[in-house]
Amino acid sequence: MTASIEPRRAVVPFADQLADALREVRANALASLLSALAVTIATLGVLLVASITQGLGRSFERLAFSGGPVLTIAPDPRPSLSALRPTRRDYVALRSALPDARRVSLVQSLGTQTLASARATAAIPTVTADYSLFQTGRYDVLAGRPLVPSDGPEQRRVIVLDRAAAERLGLDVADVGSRIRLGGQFVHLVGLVKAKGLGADSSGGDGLAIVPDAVVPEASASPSAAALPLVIEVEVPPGADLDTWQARIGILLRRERNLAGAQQAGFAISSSERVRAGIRSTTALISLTATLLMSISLVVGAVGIVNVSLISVRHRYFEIGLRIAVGATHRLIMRQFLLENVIVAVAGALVAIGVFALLAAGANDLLGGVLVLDASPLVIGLAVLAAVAVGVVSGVAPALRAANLDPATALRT
Amino acid sequence: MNLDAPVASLRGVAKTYATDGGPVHALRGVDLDIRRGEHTAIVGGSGSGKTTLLSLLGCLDRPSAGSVAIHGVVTSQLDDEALASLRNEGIGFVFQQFHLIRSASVAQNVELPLYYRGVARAERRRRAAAALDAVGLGDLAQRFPQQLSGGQQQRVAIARAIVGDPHLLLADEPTGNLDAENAALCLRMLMADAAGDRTLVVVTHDLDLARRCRRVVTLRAGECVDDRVD
Ligand SMILES: Nc1ncnc2c1ncn2[C@@H]1O[C@H](COP(=O)(O)OP(=O)(O)OP(=O)(O)O)[C@@H](O)[C@H]1O
Ligand SMILES: [Mg+2]
Repeated sequence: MTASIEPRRAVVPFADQLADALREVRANALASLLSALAVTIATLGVLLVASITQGLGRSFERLAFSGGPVLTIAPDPRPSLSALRPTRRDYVALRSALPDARRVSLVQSLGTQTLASARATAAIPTVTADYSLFQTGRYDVLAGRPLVPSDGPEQRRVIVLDRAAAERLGLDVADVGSRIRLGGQFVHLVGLVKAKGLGADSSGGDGLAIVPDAVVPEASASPSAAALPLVIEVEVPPGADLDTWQARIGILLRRERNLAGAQQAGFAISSSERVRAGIRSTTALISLTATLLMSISLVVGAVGIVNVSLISVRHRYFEIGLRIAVGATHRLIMRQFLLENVIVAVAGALVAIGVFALLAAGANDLLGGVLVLDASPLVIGLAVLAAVAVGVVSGVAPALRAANLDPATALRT
Repeated sequence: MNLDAPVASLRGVAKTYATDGGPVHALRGVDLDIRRGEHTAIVGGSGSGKTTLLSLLGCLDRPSAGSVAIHGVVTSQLDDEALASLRNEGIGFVFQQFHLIRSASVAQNVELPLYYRGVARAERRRRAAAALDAVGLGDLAQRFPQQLSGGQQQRVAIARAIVGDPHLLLADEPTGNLDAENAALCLRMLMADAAGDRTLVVVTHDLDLARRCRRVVTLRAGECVDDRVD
């Protein structure tokens, strides 16, 4: 008997504490559910934002031109400068003046042309381009072949379609070799391609048809071929200094036009790298904004849990008083309430991961991989960690209140 | 710690609650020794300080003045852990409102003091079953409190109070919510004690119950006005 009245420090096994906490979580189902819901929403928000920004970054990177950096010389739209817009003469001049470029390509819009396959007829944006456009991997060839040097003006009977254009004409890879009516004549479909580069697929979902340069069917072309917008692309070697190249091209074209220093040029040179950098900074801005919003949602979630837990503690005063009366230390009461909150937070986080997995599967199916929702294990780990942190942090106030409860008062009815 | 010392000893104990309406003097200088094996009834009008006295004896509260000693150890010298351990091992409580945890089964309620003592689960089960047998509720271990009658619930609370084999049983109006038959039954169980050295302090309005205790202490307005031993 003497031994049993010596105060000694009891150790409650963790498994018992866990079982006890689990039972209380279940017993306070409504409060637990509300708290778990707050954690689920907060965690889901973190997961979605993290993976969407990740996916956005990746999509943008994929959109960005995958070959070397490209300088695009496009017409200045101001009517007063129409006489100074890029011309075929500029193209020829640049080709000979820039032998160190990876390619110099000419792309001239033919506007929207009516194309007819054996299956369908559609109005499709059409350009004429020289074969060099396909030389450096700007397009993936899905079937058949791209344009080649022999597809010159005198060989005016071939056409290359991108996937969207082929779809609109009811064609697929098996139809390479078939005949298509373009304006008043027939052309042979020699290849299906897919644009990899930025702006290469600027036609929206309308698709693009590419015919060899000078295949302009006189009948369907606009009044004068010279009036059609003409773009020259210069792909420079990887790693080259774009500013230098841009200056070089600018000087060349201005000399061609006999322009004085301050005079307007009639063309604009844009760089793929600048576009890419713009995309990067936009992505960074989106990430930053999203992270801020996410943090706010986490804080709001935490405040919600604190609130629910505080109310729940108030409903459990007698239980807490009783536990203290039968020998619970303040530390154990504190730990019990923290443990309950962590259990709820982890459960909420697990539900969030499940919902996220479902969403990801659905979204990736629906959007055909345009928007990739796949969080890395690191992101998922961080999300769970954040949820547990929210659980612990938001559990501190209620746990402190519970542990500091005056048992004598709590046990009075 | 001294087993020959009184189980509990109060010296000049006062308890003052601060309220919005000024201080409330619940106890004003009470001297009281509770001796081992003694059955003591504490009687007095409503608000006379009975519950306050009991929570001081049970180390649930600290006095505003004076000292409380349990087995000769002054409780103001003990830290939270030591007090918890003292409550856990030395004291059993029974309340008028039973105070059973609704989410826990009858057996789990009875086990609670052993849980905080760090007793392994199987041993807890065994001892809870024995305590429930002692109050005649061996069959109801897996039920939940709200599935029991008031008398049965109070017997579960008694099982919980005795499961840890404490020296001191403190009961605050244990029969206040029970009919005469159940009251008698519960009182018998509180007083039943195989070893014969368990100390019982019971707060009651019930003079019949009080008369069954050897010693009756009467409080009035926070003072001990009568202390009678048959
Ligand atoms: N937490 C508290 N805060 C303020 N006053 C309190 C508190 N607890 C008790 N009191 C006051 O202390 C006095 C004694 O209360 P106590 O509960 O000890 O009386 P009691 O004898 O048990 O009464 P009853 O027979 O009605 O249960 C009462 O006036 C009561 O209002
Ligand atoms: Mg009372």
